[in-house]
This record gives sequence, structure tokens and C-alpha cells, in this order.
Amino acid sequence: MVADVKSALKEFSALLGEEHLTTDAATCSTCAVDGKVPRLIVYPSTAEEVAAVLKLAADSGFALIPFRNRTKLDIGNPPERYDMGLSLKGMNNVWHYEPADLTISVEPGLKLKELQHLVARDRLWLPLDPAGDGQASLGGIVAANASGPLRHAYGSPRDMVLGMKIATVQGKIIKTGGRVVKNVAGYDLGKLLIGSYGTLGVIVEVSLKLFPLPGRRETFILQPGNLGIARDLRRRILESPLSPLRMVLLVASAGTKLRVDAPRAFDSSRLEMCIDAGGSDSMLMRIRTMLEGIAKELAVPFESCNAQDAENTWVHASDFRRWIGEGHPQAIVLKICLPISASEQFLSMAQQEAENAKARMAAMSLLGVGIVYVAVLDSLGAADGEHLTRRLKHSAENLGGVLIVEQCPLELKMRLDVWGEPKDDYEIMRKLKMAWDSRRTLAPGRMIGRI
Amino acid sequence: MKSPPLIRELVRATNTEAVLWRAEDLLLYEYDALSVMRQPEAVVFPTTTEEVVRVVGIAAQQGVSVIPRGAGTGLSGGATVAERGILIALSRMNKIVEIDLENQRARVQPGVVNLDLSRAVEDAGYYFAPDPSSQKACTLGGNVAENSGGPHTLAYGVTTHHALGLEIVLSDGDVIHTGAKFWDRPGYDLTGVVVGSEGTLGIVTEITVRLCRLPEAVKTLLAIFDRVLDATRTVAAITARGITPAALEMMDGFTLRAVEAATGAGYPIDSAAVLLIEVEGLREAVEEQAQAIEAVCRENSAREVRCARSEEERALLWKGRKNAFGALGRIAPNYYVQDGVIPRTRLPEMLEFTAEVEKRYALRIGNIFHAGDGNLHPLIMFDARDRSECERVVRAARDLIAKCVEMGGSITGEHGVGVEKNELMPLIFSEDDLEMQRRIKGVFNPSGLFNPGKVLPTGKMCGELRIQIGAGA
Amino acid sequence: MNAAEEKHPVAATQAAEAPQWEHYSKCIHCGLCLNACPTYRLLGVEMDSPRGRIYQMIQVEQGRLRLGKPYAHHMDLCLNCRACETACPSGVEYGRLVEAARSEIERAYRRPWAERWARKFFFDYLLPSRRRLEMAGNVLRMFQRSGLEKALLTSGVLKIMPGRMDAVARLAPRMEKPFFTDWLGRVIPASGGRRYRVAFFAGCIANLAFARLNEATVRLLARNGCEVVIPKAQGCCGALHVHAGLRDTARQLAVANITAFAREGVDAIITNTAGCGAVLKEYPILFERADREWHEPAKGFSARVKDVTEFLASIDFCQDFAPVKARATYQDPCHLLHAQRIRSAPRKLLAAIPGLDLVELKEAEICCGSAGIYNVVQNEMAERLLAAKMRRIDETGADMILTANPGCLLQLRAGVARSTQNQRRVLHVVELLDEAGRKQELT
Repeated sequence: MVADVKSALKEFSALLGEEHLTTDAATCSTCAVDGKVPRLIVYPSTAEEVAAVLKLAADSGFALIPFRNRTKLDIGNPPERYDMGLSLKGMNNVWHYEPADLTISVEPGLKLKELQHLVARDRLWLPLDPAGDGQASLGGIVAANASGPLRHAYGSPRDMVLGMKIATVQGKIIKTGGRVVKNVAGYDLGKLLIGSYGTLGVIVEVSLKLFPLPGRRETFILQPGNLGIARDLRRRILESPLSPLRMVLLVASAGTKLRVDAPRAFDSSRLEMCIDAGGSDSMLMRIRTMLEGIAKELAVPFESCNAQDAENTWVHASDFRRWIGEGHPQAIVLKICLPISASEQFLSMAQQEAENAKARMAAMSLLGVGIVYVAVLDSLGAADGEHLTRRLKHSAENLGGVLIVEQCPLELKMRLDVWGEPKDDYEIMRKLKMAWDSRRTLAPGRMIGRI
Repeated sequence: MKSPPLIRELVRATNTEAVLWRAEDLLLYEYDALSVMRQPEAVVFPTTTEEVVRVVGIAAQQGVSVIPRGAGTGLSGGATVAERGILIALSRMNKIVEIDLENQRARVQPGVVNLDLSRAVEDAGYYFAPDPSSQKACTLGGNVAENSGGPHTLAYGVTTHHALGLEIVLSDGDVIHTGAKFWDRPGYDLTGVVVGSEGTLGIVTEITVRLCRLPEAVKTLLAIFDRVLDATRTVAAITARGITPAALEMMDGFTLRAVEAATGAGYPIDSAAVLLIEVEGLREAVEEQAQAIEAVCRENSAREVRCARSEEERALLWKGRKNAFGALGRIAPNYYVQDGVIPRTRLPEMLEFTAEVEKRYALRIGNIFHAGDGNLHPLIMFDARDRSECERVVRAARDLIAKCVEMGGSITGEHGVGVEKNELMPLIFSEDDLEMQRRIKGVFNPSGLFNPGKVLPTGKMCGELRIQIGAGA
Repeated sequence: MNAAEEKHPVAATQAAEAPQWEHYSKCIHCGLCLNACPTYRLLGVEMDSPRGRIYQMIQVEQGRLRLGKPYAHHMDLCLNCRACETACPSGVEYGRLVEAARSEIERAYRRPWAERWARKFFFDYLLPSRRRLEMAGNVLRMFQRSGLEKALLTSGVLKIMPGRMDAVARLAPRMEKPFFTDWLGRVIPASGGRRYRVAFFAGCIANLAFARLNEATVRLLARNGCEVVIPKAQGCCGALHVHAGLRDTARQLAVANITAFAREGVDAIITNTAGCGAVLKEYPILFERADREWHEPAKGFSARVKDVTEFLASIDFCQDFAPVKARATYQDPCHLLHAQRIRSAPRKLLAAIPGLDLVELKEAEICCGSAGIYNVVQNEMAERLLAAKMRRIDETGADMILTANPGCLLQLRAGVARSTQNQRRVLHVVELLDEAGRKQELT
């Protein structure tokens, strides 16, 4: 941080008004990232203010991290510097909502739950269920390209963003894309911001594509005896015309008791495959019949869930990363991205590794997507934790995928690059970062290669 | 005739069969499907990434630009030469490198033809979803460059949703690999930026794409209307009913009379407009959605709603639609197709405006829309030998685009900016927006080696359409 | 003395038959034809694509391109398979354009002497004369039967010959004695009641090399209630001449045929050869710019021409077939599919044969490389196309390959002969229908 903090603070204050910033230590400590506590939190309420804050921060040599509800702040390498937090909780406007066009434009602070509530009255939704139980804001969801089990049918925010406005450290507001569903004018800068974790600019408005809500829903639970059978089930379902909305496999070490309200799979060594289907009565009937048929052929127990169990299952599956973390502050939560075919094999390796390390684990696998979340529940200590993580990373890479450490104790985090090693496209990423944020004002050091 | 030094170097980097340089051959590389531009210094046909790297190196050293070209079916001039340069024609890099069905992926070279990929995996029950009307000829490399769409992108998204990884040769000769076979590789989404960059950021030499499962059932409906307004209203009414068809296309009476004359697909020539609607998925879903759509159409005064009874009938209807541009090509010697996008609820208004423009400039305009997406393809008919008509065409096109922008839409939905619309970019982007785009280009392509004069405005003809209308035949 | 030798009073014309604006201006250079074009698929260059060829024609017309060797080369390399016409959304009549371009080349471009001599011998001396063809056929047959051919082919002598003599020699058709020429002038009664009276167009080389196929065709027609007239004065259709740009000779041959068939009051003029059928149906085009007085008679003639599969599929054809236990695949002859737009007729006929497992061939719409005499004059390209075709055929697992054109039969048989599964049968659809029908009659 530059020497002249006081005059900078004055300028922020002049810019936003006293009431829109705080230096209160208690407040600042709630916004700590990986142990680093900011000196200042600002609460801009317009896009122009965000842009001005960014410029001022850059000019003052401050490092800044944007956030709203802090549901994903633990993802990323420890920040190299962190002087101020930029809270977007004052930006919750819906600028444009046209149900017949299936589009909506919102400010980044709006929570997913609020948006869903707004559009549900027109029987629409934004089919995303990332961790955070609806508390995550749209700005954060887009900046992290955060998704959950619904990704199976609907994809990730990347597939739903039509356009956005971005505040840059140059103090500009940049427009990219638009409000229409098809648009190829100019470079798709929005793609760069999606999944950039606030390291390039701050999203100040995002336009999204909405979808019609499915008529009825039903959740089915299948219990494959082992991962081999789970793989056969997955193959059969993906090759069938069934198109479930969500399909996850829940795995936990024997004797793992996570929480009273946890889905059943996490209470035992049983595998549970949960499938969420949507549509009309006749569609659900057909899906049930087909699933039952497949289950029978593979001798897998099959049942249809009651509404409350279903709700409970999906809330936990979507929020896996967060609620595991809450219950086990020392847990290591890993996200493994794999070719679809490798999920079960990786899970089996993970079970073995956890057993070797004498640690309990729980996992949630998006079977049709190839994304697996693994949580190592017991505190291992930094050295053992690192050893286990590296073993699993090695397994993931051998299967043609990558491993990302999404959450872990700080001392372990200091020993790793949570994103893994940069590859041959890193140099371009680094140059892009410099093109957008040459003074490294935005979340310095947090992205891949400590960019 | 002895070849110039540049050519000898290019031959050394590849082989004699891989370089065209004689005047009579270069003549054939001055056009694409839009327009006629200038001739390249040479055309090189690499077959490997290494050859591309060598050619790029020579170009950089000699200070000539490099323009990638697939099949040359683009409609914005992207694969033509705007400034002095050599063309890298990727038509011989046409191998499907890998098909991995369990992972729903394929790895292809950029010269593979879109439909050839779908054909290669159809027996196993898969296909590549983006289906531009030129899909039987256009290449996947071109699709990546233009972020191509097509009728079925309404439900399945455009190329950017299906291209997951790229191998790219950069202007300094470095080869990078973006994205991956799996989702969510850490780091910035370079694939997402390069898709749709129209060959201005690098030369894509390999593409990893997603393959989709063919649906169990498909139903194709043809809704016939006596008033255009009713057809346009129906579009929003269908989505308002919670139905997302796989495709929702509209053609006006003028267009479908031409289409009918060309294909004999059974389009009603006495109607004012038709909607071609396709629903797919689970049998039960398709059945119910088709019924619901039929009801919506009738509520909106459709005269008749037909359902294709066989695969042949369905194929014929689509043949009519996919060949619609060409069918209108039979009516007048030349046409100019626009590619504006508007929010779909504004369709009725836009059509009225189009009719006004038609009158204002005394032109005939055929209306073909990807109506579900709000992506308009008004086709302006003309005879290039009539210079005054050519001028009116350009003015009419400009008015139509301006209207799209005014309605909150875009200047191009799927055809790209290229050399056609780069001077129109300021209509939708501020100088700040454009400056950021220039920076992106500066990162990938600092020397401006790749495809200069495209996408970003050059400032030479501010606010003008740059099409050289009617050149050639 | 036969048809063409009668020297019908057709004025030799040097009138320019260059590509016309009204035809080439329909091309919107959209490029949808590219991947349908066999030469573009192999070479990947614009010059050897339909769009590029049309563009070259326009540039020649506008004086931007010289009508020289490169231009002639790209036009020659075209198979004139017309797959681009099927692909074209704008209805460009590419065949008409390339034929006009070749006619212009013939007038304005001087080919090397050896090529000139060979073309003159084949097109002017051999093809138009039944007598000379028969003589040549007898010589070739003696050569084939004497073992000399086999010796030559196995000796490897041809391999050291210039050009591609070895590959070309393997394409020579078997001469089938007795020649079909004996049937010319006969009228074959319908078996059962007479429902139609049709004329059979027997072709030129087909009379010698496909005598059995011609007989089968006539038998099949008779079995379907046709009284079959085989006019004696008919001759070569002129297709190869039209393709080569020799329109004056083609017109002479056309006039001879129009005259020969005009005498017969028939419901249809039937051919089993797609290439002949295409040009017979397009005789009127030949008389648009020259010998206009023949335009109307040509239209009357062409309106009656039917491919044998087209004709049979359009009538209530006899479906009494013995079962055929085979896995078969069908290759569309280009001039049936693209020039005559006949796709479903042969499939409909084949579907009527019990037991026949017909597997659709991928890329059946792409030329096999035969293309008239293309496999002789552009042998290298033809061989590459054939190799690609055989790979696709292998994929089907078919033990029987069907097509509906003698030229394709020769090419595919050459492909099968050199393959590992060289026992696979290659048949004209008519041959299989005739065989299955006759077998049924015997049981």
C-alpha cells in the first residue's frame, strides 16, 4: 500500500460519501481473505461509482477484491496484497426484465434467490444452483462461472450470459454483448470475465437468458452396489433419450455422519445416484419407467423420492462445497474436472487414497458433466494434506483432467498453487491481465499462476 | 514464369503442391460468399500445425499479413483479403483426429466440413449441434472464426457453446492450447474469446468440440398465416407458453413462393407467412409440445398447421428453408442479406419497418428470420448492373441495421462483422468499448499480422457499410 | 450403313456456344457446392470447385483470364457429375455451363497434337460409326481371349509404359459376344398382355460390352407388359461428345436419333444408361443456339425419354421375384441422381425383392470416378475417387454392389477386382431384377 493512505481514504470518502465506506476493524475482518484483512471496505451504489473506485484504487496503488455475499472468497490463491474490499451489496437493481423475450438485466449484487423469486411469477427461472443456497449474487456467480448439478441439463453461467457491462481500473465502463440471444459483433469480452474471479474488471451489469420452468419435478434415487455399477448406470442413462435435469452420485466413507439433515448417502457407505427429472406427467411417467427398467437390468435398488427428501437432497448436493466446509473447517474441498468417462474411476482412486491417509471423505460427482467434488473431512496437517492432495492431483491428471483446491486450511494453501500449473496458454493470460489491469489492482495473485 | 522469393520460401516451408501463386489461380481467391475483395499474394495449403507455424513465420518476417480461410462460404468477407497478405487455406487440414463418444467429444482439424462431422457420428446417435445453412460446405474452422449459428441454435446454442478447446498458432509462431476436453479448466476462457474473433487473433489448427445426442423424436410443424403480423406475434406467444422449440423459423410470402418454385417442398404459395417450427426430445414431450404449439398458432389466427408426416417431408421442408437464400437468388441476379438481431417481441414492429424501407427505396425484400432468436435475414434483391439500385440497396440495409440497434439489438447475429460491418461497430460500441477490444487484439496479435482490416473499425469510412456490392457475378 | 454415317444435313457451325450471362449470373458464389464436388473434395482448391469453375468462365468472358492451358485443365478435370447442381440452392445449371465452356475451349484452344489425334480418332471416327465400333470390339475381344491381355497385364510391361497405361488397360470392358447389335431392328413382344409400347435405346459401346445387360433390360421390359421396339437406325447418343465440347458432332448424332425414334409411336424411349439418358433428355439444349429447326423435334423426343428404373417404378411393375439372400448397397449414378434427379425409383424397385438387405451407402451421391471416359483421360483422379468409394462400400459390409449405369459398373468392378473381397458381385439394378424375376418363373 502506498504511503499516503489518509489522503486516499479522503478521496474515496469524497467519491462515495462517508456512509458508503468503512474502516471499522470488525467489519473489515469479516471480509478477510485467506487471513488477510482489508483496511477499508467501500459500498458503491452505481456502475459509475464502481468505475471511479477502481480507478482511484489503481491510482493509489491499492489492491482490491470485489465481493457481495462472500460465498466463494475461499476459492483462489492467497491474495498477494489486499487493501480494500469492494462490496456490491448496494447494487441490486433489475434494469430490464422482459418475460416474453426470456431476458433479464441485473446489477451484480442481486442474489440468485431474489432473481428466481422475481421471474418465477412468469413461470421462468435461471437454471443455476451453485453452492450458497441462493445467497450467492449474480455478479459473483458469473465472475466464478459457478454452477451446480443443474449444469447437467442447462450448462453454466457461460451459456446464459448474453452481455455485460464491466467497470475497469481505467475508470471506464465497457459494454460487451447485448440483451439479444444471438450476437457476434466484436470480440466476446464477456467470456474473459466469466470465471475470472474478479481479476480483470468488475461486472456492474449482466444480461442473462431465462428459461421456462419445467412443469412437474420428480427425484429418483438409485443405489448402485459399487462404482463399476454406477459407471454402467451412467453410461446407460447418457446413451438413453432420457434427459434428466440433474444427475449426481453421492459417495461417502463408511461410518461418515455429516449432519442430521444430510442426504442419506452421506450417512453410510452406500452410493446414491440422485436423478432429478422435469416435465409433464406423461414425461415423468416415461422417465420413471425407463429408469426403473435400467435399474432392474443392472439389479440396482430404485425408488422415487418424496418431495421433502428431494428438496433436502438437492439443497445439499448443490451446496456441497459450502456446507461440508461449514461443518468441517479443516476440510480440504477439491474440484476435479475430468472427461465424463473418468468420474467413477477417479472416485475409486480417491476412496483408496483417503483410506490410505486414514481420512474420511465425501464426494459429489456430476456424472454427466465430468465434475467431481471431493471433501477430505479429517484434519490431516499441512504435510499429509499436501501429500494427499498431490496424489489426487496426479490421479486426476492421469485421467486427463485437472484438480482445483477450492477450500483448505491456510497453511496447506501456502504450499500449493490451488489451480495447478499454468500451461502453454498462460503467457497470453498474463498479457491479458496486464492489458486490463497493468498495476495488478484486482485480486492480485489469486488466479492461476498467481497472476 | 519464375516464382518470387516469397513464394520460394513458402514452398520450402511446405511443398510445391501446397502453394498457389500464379495470377490465374490467385484470381479465384478474391471472393467469398459475400463479396469480391483483393487478390492474395499467395495461397498456402498447410496440412499440419508445423506447416502453419512456418508459414506464419515467413509472413511475419516478410511483413505480409496472413488471412485464414475455410470454405469461403462466409457472409461478411472474413476470408477475403482486405490488405496485402497471403491466404492460409485450411481445406486440406480436414481430418477428424479423434471421436470419443463416451465423453461426447471430437477433435478435428479446422478444414473438416460441419456436416461431415455430424455424418461421421450419426450412426452412433450423435451430432454436432450448430447447423448454419451452409453446413454441407462450411468448415468447423470457419464456424469457430465466425461463432456460427443456424436454425437449431435456438435450443442448443451457437458454436461458442460447442467448441471447448482450440490449438492456436499465434503471430510470434507460438502454439497454444486453450480449453480442454473437460469443463472448467482453470484460467481465463481464451477459447471463448477466440471463437468469433474472425481469424484476427490467431490461426486455429485444431478444435475440440462437444457432440450432442440425437433426440429420440422430432416433429416439424408448418404454421400458415394469412397475415404476417399474426405470424410474428405467434413467435413470442410460443415462448410465453413455456415452450422452447429446437427451431422456430419464419419466411414471408414472397420468400416462400421463391422457395416453393425452387424446391417444391409443399410450401403454400398463397399465404402471407409461414412459421417452421421443430420440437425434439422425448416422444411424450414432443407430442405435447407439438399440440401446444398448434393451439398457440391457431389462437393467433393461423390458417392451417401442418405436421411433416415422414422424414422425407421433414427433410424437404428444411431443404426449402436452408436453400431459401439461393431460391431468392433465382428471382433477381443479386441479393444482399442482412443479419440484424432484435428482441423477439419486437418482430411485428420490425416487419412493418422493413415494409416501409422496401417502399422508401423501391426495392424487393424477402424476409427470412430465425424468429425464435430474433435474428433477421432480410434479403434485398437487386441487379448489380443497375448502379442506382446498388446505392439504394446499401442505404436500405443501413436503415434496417440502424433500426435493429435502436430496438436494443445487434448489427450481426451470426454472419460476423468482417469487412462488411466493421465501420458500423460504433453504432453499438463506444470508443472505450472498442479500445478494450483493440487491447485484446493487441495481446494475441500484437503485430497485426492476422486478418487486418476486419472486425474493428479502420476509421476510413466511418459509419458505412463496406460491402462492394455486385462485384463479380 | 447406320445413323450417323447417313450424314444428316446439319450445318457444321462455329457459332460461339460460350457460357451465357443468363445462366452464370444465377451463381451467387455461396460455395454450397464445394463439398459436393469430387475434385474439390480431393484437391481443396477453388479452381477445381464448381463455384471456382464458373468464376473462371466469367473471368474469361470479361477478359480477365486467358482461355489457355490452365483454364482448359480445370475444365477438363471436372467430372461433369453435376453433384453441384443438386447442392445448388440457386438452380445454376452447371452441366450446361461446363459443356458450353468446353465447346468454347474446343473452338479457341489448341490442344497438344497427341491429344488432338486421340480425341479425333475416338470421338469422330470410332463412336459415331457402329461398323467401326464393332470391328474394334472384335479386335479387342480377340486380344482378351487370346490371353495376350492377361499376359500383358501380369507381365508388368505396361507399368514401364508412359502415362498410366497399366491402370487404364485394366478398365477395358469385356467384349460380350454375341453383340447386342444383332437385336437392332427387332420388335420384342410383351409377355402376358401388352400394356405399353416402348422403344429401347441401346447405346453404342454398350452393344458390345454390355450385350447381356441390354438383353436383360429388354426381357425385363417385356415381362412388365411392354412391347419393345429397338429401332435399327439409332446410334451413339453423343453424351461423350457433349461432355467433351464437341457439339457439332453431338448435334449430328442427336438428329440421327431423333429421326430414328420419330418413326416409332411409343409411350417411352427407355435407356439403361444414365449418362445417355441425361443427354437424351437434354437434346433441346443442343439446338438452342444452332440448328434451331431441330429444337422442337428434340423437345418432343426428350419428353419421352425415361431411364429404365424411372419407367418401371412409375408403372405397376411386376413384383414377382425369387428371394435374393444378400446384403447389398446401391451407388447412385451421378447422371441418374444429379442430372435426372432420380433417387427413389431404383430403391423402390430393389425394395420389392424379398430377402434383399439394402444398406444405404454413405456418400452414395459422390461420383465413383467413372464419369464417361474420365477414368481413362483423368485416370489418377478417377483412381483416387474409386479408392474412396471402395472404402465406403467396405464399411457397409455389402456382398453385392448395385448401381444403374454401365460406366459405374466398369469402374466399381475394377475396384472390387483389386480389393481383398474380389468375389463381391457388381450388378446393374436391371440385372438383379431380371435374375430374381427369372428365377421365380423357374420355380
